[in-house]
Amino acid sequence: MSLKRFGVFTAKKLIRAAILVVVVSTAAFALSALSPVDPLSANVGANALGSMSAEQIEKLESYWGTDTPALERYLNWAGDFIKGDMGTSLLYRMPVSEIIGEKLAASLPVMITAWVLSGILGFAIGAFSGSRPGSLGDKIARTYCVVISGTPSFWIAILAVMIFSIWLGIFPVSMSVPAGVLSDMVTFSDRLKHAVLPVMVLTLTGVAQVAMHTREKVIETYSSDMARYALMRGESGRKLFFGHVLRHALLPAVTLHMASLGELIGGTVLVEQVFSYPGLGQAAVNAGVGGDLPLLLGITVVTALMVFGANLAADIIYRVVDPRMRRGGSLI
Amino acid sequence: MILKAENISFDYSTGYPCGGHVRRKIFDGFDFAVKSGERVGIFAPSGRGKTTLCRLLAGYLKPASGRITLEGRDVSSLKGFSPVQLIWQNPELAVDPYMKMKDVMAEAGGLTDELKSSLHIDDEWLDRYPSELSGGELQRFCIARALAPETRFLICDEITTMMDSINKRLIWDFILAEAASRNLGLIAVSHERALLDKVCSRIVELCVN
Amino acid sequence: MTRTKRAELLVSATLAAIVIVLVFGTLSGEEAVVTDFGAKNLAPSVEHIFGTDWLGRDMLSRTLKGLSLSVVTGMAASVVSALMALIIGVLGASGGKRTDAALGMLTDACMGLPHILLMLLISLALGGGTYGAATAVALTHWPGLSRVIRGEILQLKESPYIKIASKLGSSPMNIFRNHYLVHLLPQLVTGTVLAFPHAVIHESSLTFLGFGPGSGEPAIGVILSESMQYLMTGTWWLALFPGVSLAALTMLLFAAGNSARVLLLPQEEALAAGGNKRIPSGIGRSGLAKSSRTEVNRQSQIDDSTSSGNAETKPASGAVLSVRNLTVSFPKEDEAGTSPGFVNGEASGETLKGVDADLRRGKITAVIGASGSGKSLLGEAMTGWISETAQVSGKICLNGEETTADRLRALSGKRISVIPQRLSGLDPIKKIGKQITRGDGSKKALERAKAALAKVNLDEKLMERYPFELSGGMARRLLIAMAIFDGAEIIIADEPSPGIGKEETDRILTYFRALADDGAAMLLITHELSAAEKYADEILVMRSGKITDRLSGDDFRAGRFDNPYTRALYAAAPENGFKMPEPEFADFARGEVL
Repeated sequence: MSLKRFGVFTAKKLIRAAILVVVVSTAAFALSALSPVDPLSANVGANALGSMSAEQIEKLESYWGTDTPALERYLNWAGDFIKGDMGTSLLYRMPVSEIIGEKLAASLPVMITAWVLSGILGFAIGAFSGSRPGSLGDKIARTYCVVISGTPSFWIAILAVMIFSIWLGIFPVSMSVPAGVLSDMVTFSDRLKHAVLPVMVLTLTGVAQVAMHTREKVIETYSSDMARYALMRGESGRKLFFGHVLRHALLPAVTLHMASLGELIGGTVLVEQVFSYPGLGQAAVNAGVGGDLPLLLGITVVTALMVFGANLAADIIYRVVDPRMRRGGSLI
Repeated sequence: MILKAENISFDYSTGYPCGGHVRRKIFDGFDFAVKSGERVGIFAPSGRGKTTLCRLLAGYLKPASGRITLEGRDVSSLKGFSPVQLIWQNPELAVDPYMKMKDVMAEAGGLTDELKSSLHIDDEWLDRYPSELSGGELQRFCIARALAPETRFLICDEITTMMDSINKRLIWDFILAEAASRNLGLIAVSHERALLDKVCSRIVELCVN
Repeated sequence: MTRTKRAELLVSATLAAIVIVLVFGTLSGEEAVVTDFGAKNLAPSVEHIFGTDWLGRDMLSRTLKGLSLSVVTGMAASVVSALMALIIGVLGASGGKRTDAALGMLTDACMGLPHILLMLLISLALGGGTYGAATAVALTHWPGLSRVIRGEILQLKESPYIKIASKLGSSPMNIFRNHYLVHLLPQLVTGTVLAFPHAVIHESSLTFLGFGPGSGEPAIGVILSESMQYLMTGTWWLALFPGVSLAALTMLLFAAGNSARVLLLPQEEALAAGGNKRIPSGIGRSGLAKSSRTEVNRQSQIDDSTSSGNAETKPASGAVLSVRNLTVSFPKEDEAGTSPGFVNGEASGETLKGVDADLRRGKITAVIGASGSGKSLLGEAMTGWISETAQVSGKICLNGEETTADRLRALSGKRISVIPQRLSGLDPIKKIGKQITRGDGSKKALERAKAALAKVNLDEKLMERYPFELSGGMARRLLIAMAIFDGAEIIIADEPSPGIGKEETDRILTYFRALADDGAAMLLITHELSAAEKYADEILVMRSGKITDRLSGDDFRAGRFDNPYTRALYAAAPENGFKMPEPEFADFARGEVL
């Protein structure tokens, strides 16, 4: 594929990303601005407000930005954003980029682990199921996926806490590090122990979509002319699966799974809430409830870019790996 | 009546059987005409644009340049029932899978008893969905559909290619009889030269462009 | 129980459940909020089936009330989102390029944010509470369904039958009513019904996070969120029962949604139910594609059953593969009670009735017949790859010894090869070299592969290419090369000339002759006498499952045949006179393949 074509492809994608950021941030900003939630009452409390002087309240208003019109605030923010400055978090009183960095460092390991695990596990389950439709194993797998898809993920997380933390006492109930321990005394295994349940819940819930999709694809492939002909050439069982079926099912599965990052992030928000895990999800919720606009905007834009990136990666993988796209078609 | 293609050109992106594409100019300054009552054959090996020509003549496609007219009017912009009817090569694609056969026929104004018996269409089939009939049975419905009273020109795109010789003969016997009794203009498209020799009074060969 | 009955049952059960929840939920409005400090934190008992909470409130009432709230908001949200999806989908598909692009960007932006975050923002904008959460859910669920609707409309626009409809004089209004509506309505209804449980889950999730109804209301999300604070105190029932109830409701709703699909699309059911008739055993509903299964399928084993009076003739000497008195039939109706469907366009109405045939080394045996005559079925039976539902009787002998379908299948690719009719048997994304050698990378295998390609005049450079880069003719030759590679003793060739010109057919037939001359025993299945004419050593003519004529190729070429049906077939061919058949043969064969 020529350099020029690649250049055009990249340029188109960059423009899309930029448009996405603009649209998402505008929407997020507009929605937050519309919110009747008064950051002052939310964060300072009605009682405290009642006993403040007009001057103090003015200062607070200026801090929380409720005295400037929305459009002006957005333009200020946008201007800073382009320069790379995402502003300062009103709740945490630190630069937004720093907060997001911190939270990502906590959430990413959990997310990525769950993502990889659920992808591999989901694909394996789907391939297994699709290879023996109607069998007991398939029925079990399908029932599992139906139950999981039909159950709210936050309740599965609650169940996990009830069973593993409270009843069995194996894993800690909440947080990402043991409570009351100085940060430089926290060991890696501590972090690991606190991450196990969130990872487990996210993995268990993330398996269903990939598994069912892969199952369909595998069944489809097995009933195709191609599979029939392969059988007639004596390719059966393992040979048929690894030689033909696997490759036809793998690419769509990878593409689908990469595109499911959005759902994973959503799941993370809920799971972090249950486990009081101080990650990006929790920060988003707090920012929302507390009217911390800069932080909320920052998180919104960052997650949108993450989802965009995952979709882009899926797109590229598809075009690079599928020989029909490499040889026959164009990249764009 | 005269169905005319005047100085048409058309290009097309064709695909190889398992993917991949090639852009090819199919017609360049091509002229063609059929009169009512005439039986014209269009001969060319597979993949030379026969189907495209059928679709152009029946008004499903517009030529890049030039005109295709029926008595002076553009075939692609005729309103109502088109007097130029095309029987498509793949009957499975030519009927709505969600419609029962009786409704498929109703769209063309119904199925006369005459056509039903000549084409050996079972009454029971009318209540079935297309997926419950074989390709050959579906094709007979499509033929009946194309032979509604208002048809003046019939274009047959490789309609008997996959049939054994007896069925081939029976179908063409029927079509030729209909065409003769109604003075229809007939255009038969095939890669089988012998068939066209028997069925048509005139044969046009499509050259490689 | 048929799928339809099961679907009806599920839908009724779901409707019943919804009504129960709504009725009891409304009825228990009082009990859900009444506090009773004398009954604090009671574990489940007969009096309080779901136990009580820290304020002594009955959990069953609270759960029912909460569920009914979710049901109401869920229903409203799913209807609204379905309407939005419909409008946006239709506009995108029919509103012109710019509208489509703009709406596409809107859809992308909506899907570009994690769903929860978007709902969170919308709920915030509306001040939270039940209204905020419900609206947030309603306004964000449309993208998926709108894409489906848009896609469906675009596909319909390009479908031949839609274009044909307008050429038949149908007005746009009629086309919309008879075609578009029928295709879209099931999608729309199913989409709406399936949106319901999603809406319930999303609403409860939002509430759980704090962006829905506040702690005053017994919403499920609130109940579960509050229960978390008390988990450590051992009141497990506070989280378990409400959660299980919610999960049960949503699962039921999902099942109902899928059932709606089954009920609304009877045509798809007919396809699915009848469509598996001719899949060879080993693929399909109950089998992994393993031909080495030792368990023998009773139905597909060819056994030496009592034949109905026909004298059993001994297999001809020198015959590699023979069938004697082979009879195959398929059961008429399947469990769904619909007429049998079709797989790959072939009539499942094909049968074989007492067929005798021999394949000999170095000889081409051609089987001629209309489709539906049984010629394809004969080929399948000889390879052992026959559907599990087939009822088979008669004898198959390999090298004079009786054998079973299983044993024949085990010889696939070794002693028996098939050259299929369709090019779709090739794996488009696997390199040609690898496909020929079946992954065997040894030097010997590669050399053999190149030699096989050379025999059909294909360049060895193609080993590194993919099938999708080949033209139709080259792909057909590749299929022959693969049979050559297998070094098969027995070759079943299905339709050498499916709609291709005379020149190419001749070329293919020349390759077949060469294969036979090299020692293979070949069965050539075709509907064209002319294809058999040139090189066949023996010709079998089939009609309605029986062999009506058996003659040597030489006799045929010399015109020495007098069987009426054979004469009719011969005379009807355009190149032989295009004669009309006698009345006894002048009915259309059942199920022609096109």
